[in-house]
Formats: sequence, structure tokens, C-alpha cells
Amino acid sequence: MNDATRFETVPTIAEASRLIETRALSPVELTELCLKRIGAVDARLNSFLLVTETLARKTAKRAEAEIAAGRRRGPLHGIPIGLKDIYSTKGIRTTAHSKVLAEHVPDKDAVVTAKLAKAGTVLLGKLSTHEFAIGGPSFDLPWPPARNPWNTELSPGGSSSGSGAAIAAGLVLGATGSDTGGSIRSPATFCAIAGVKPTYGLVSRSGILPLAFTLDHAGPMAWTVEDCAILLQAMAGHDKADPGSAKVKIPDFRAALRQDLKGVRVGVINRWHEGEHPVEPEMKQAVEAAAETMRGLGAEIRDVAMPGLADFAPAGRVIILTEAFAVHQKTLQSRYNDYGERFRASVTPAALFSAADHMQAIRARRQLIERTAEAMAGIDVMVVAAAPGPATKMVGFDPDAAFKRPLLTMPFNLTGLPVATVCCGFTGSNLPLGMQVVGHPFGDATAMAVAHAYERATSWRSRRPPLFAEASAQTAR
Amino acid sequence: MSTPEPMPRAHVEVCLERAGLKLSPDQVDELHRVSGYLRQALERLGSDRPMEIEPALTFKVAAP
Repeated sequence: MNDATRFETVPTIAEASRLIETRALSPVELTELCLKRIGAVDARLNSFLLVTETLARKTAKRAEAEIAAGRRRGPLHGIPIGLKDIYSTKGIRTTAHSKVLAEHVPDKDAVVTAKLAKAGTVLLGKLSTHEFAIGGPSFDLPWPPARNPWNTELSPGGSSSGSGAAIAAGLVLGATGSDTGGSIRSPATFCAIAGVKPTYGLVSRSGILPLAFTLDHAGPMAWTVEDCAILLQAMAGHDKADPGSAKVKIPDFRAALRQDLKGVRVGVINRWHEGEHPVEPEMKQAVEAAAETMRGLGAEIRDVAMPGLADFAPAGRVIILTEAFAVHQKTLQSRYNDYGERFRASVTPAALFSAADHMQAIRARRQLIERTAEAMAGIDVMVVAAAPGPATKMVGFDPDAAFKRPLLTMPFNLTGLPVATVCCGFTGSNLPLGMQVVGHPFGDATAMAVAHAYERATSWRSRRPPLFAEASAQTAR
Repeated sequence: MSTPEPMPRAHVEVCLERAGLKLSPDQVDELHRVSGYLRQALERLGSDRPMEIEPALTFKVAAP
């Protein structure tokens, strides 16, 4: 292929990989396509904080030469990706989207950065995030917040906001995210992509700027679950530099996707869709329809009696804020107003917690882990909405919303369980809805297999956002 | 839903001083306003747990 613009759409990682392997597509052409698309629409999307154009072209050329010489490294060789800007990149600015680190250039790659480079990916640049991965869309930071390619007046979710937006708009084929309370799963939901928060300990966090040590998870984001599996294969593995890293055998995630749903026991957490904090009717219906689709594929569907969502929320809030405050306390003392308003409003409340409050939260967490394990006995995966509804507005939302409504995602940061998030439909106004598929500890492959089977049985992957189409139209000219 | 009853303002100010943070009066006002949500969260978290519920120290050792 000599003309990258022949793509009216952008290939998935799996498709591009196949084309590159058979020399039907060159990494250089694919990289140029992505760079053109970034040039066409990212001024309106703000998904990139930095485009590493020169490096990307150099890496793509090297990949092309290596593949031509018969030295293909694997399925990610020559695949253009982006990194959330909390992943350290040697010699490349890593800012956490904050004035506090605006000039920060690491002298070392994060372990995952290095692993993805070794796998042959082409780094297109660093992606927007909520400041230090917490807060929300902020307009008082050195760079504007990422916007949602389905509707630029709406939030793309976060904190891995740039990752979600860039993938949905087809500016990158895959990206990294981090998830401390839902930061991979929220943008996956609001941008209609796939995102995997792996089991705590499966992917190294070494060299990734921390938010809350005991809740932080690094994971892949892409258009499909299969692409996430390909990325996760390269990202996972024990790392002695990460105290939370687990020494476990890493399965072949992509091969595991081949399992079907016959006899798979799926528990729906209906309780979290109703009661004290109900999700919107369209979301509830979408998850119910998804469960029916899974039943049609051979799964056994049942209700699962998880602890109440509101039981998880206070433990999650106390732990995430206390740990984040501990990370930033020294800098907050000397440079308080160099942080954005939303970061300050999110983290400063930790100053009001006592040591005993923190310990009670840790003890509550242990109880919740045990109760969750009991609830999951006899089932293979759980499914539940990933958010109460579709994306919310960038501005003019209720500033107290985070206090009023417990996150549907935080329970799986507290419990460390693996979650694959997939699109499960659209609202009447064409906004995406997302669903979590939750596995047992280190059951990442099963969670992804169920999510993949569902994804393949539906037509949601054929819909792309308006800014995707616009990028295609502009690059085809 | 109205904002829940905040913590005493003096408590908020003492906590900020202990944390070494210097906030503007407006920033203190805002933290004081939202402190009611935190108080609610802490009430929900509670402190009545069996004594054996503890965060255990765990070791990773090679299998014998």
C-alpha cells in the first residue's frame, strides 16, 4: 500500500498488525496517517499535550526496516500509540498536565514505557490527563482539557481523558491509562472505547507518577478488547521495582479470547443500578440487554448480591485522598496555588481526615474484599454499569457531584479486581454507554474473553464519533 | 439536595494548620462548606468493627 489515505477508517491494532506482517501496510504510512489526523482535529480535541512527531517518524522508519529485514518483534511492531502524561518518558517532557511539573523531563522511562517501546510501538506523543490523574476537566492549567469526540461540549471522562479521546477519534491505535477510582473505565465509557483495569499487581507502576499507591492501576485502552489484550500482553509482568507487583504467570491474553460463553456464569450487580443511587434508565436497559446478549451466547445469567455501593464509597474516598495528599503534601505546602482549582478542591479535604479515619477505611476495605469474594463465589464474572449515564458537560456541572454520588468503578480499585470495560450501547442522543466486566483476582483473561465475546456479538464497534469522520474527511483531501 | 451541615470551622482551620497548608479565606470557606460531605462519609464509614479486622502485614517468600 502506498497511500495511507486509502483508509476511510483507522485499522484496529489487530488489523494493522496483520497488514504490517504481510507487508500490505508500512508502519511509516500508518504513522503518517495518524499524524495527519492529529493535525486535522486535535486543536479541537486537545487530546495531546505533546506530539513527538520527529521521534515517531524515526521509530516508524526503523520498524519498517526491521520488519523488511525479517526481524518483526510481534503484534505491536510499528503500531502508533500514545502515553498518558503521567508515564515517565526518558528525555521527553512528562507533566501530569500540571504547572507543578511543566518543565519536568525524566531521565528514565517508566517500566511500561520501556516495555511498549521494546515491543516496537511508535510513540506519537503524550496525552492529556486530569491534573495528576484526579479532579476533572480544568481550564486553569497550562494546557486545555481534552474534549469528547462524540460532542466537544462534553467531558471525555477521566482522568485518562486524552487517551480515551484520541483513540475514539482515531488519532492513535492504542494508549495507556491509569485507574485509581475509574480513570481508565470512565473515558472508555464516555468515548465508547475498550479499557482494561488489570488486577492490582499485574502491571508495573514503576515510573508512573502516583496518585494513590494502594489503588493505582496501569492498563491499556484501545478501540477493541482484542487490542487491549495485545497491549496488556506487552505491559504485564513482574517488576521488582514496584512493591505492589505480583509474581504470577502471565497467560496468553489474546489466545484466551477464543473461549466462548457457553456455561460461563455471569452475575449482574442489579443492586447498584437501583436503590439509593440509581443509574439512568437508558444505562440500566443497556446492561440488561447486554446480559441477554450474553445469555444468547450461552452464558448463565444470575443476580449477584454485592455489598452496597455506598459502603465502598467512604473507604475509597478516605484512602484515595489520604494517599494523594501524602504524595503532594510537601509541594502543596509551598506551591498550593500552582495546582489547579479542581486538584486542590479534590485533594485538600484529606487534611480533615484523622489517622484513625484512615485506619478505619483500611479495615473497611479488608471487610469489603472478603464480602466481595463471598459474593463472587460460584460465578465467573460480574457485570455492572460503568457510569450512571452518558458523558456530562465540560462546564456548568454540579461541583459537589463527586461527593453526592458514589462511583460505580471505585469498588474494584478497593478490591483490586480486573475489569474490562466495553461499550454497551448508545442513548437516544447518540452518546455512548459503557459496562464493566469484572473478573476474579488475576482472572483478567476471563474478564476480557467475556467482554470480547459480547463486543463481537454486537454492532457497537461500527459506530465512530463525528470527529473521527471529520479527521477521515480532512486527511482524504 | 442541600449541602450537609459542615464540620465546625475552627476544626477545619486547626486541621489545615496541622497539615501545613496556607489557604486564602475564600479557599477555607469552600473547604468548610464541603466538609459536611466528608463528615457524612466518615459517619458512614463508622468505627464499630470486630477487633480482628486488621490490615495484616504480608510477606512474599519463595515456596519451600
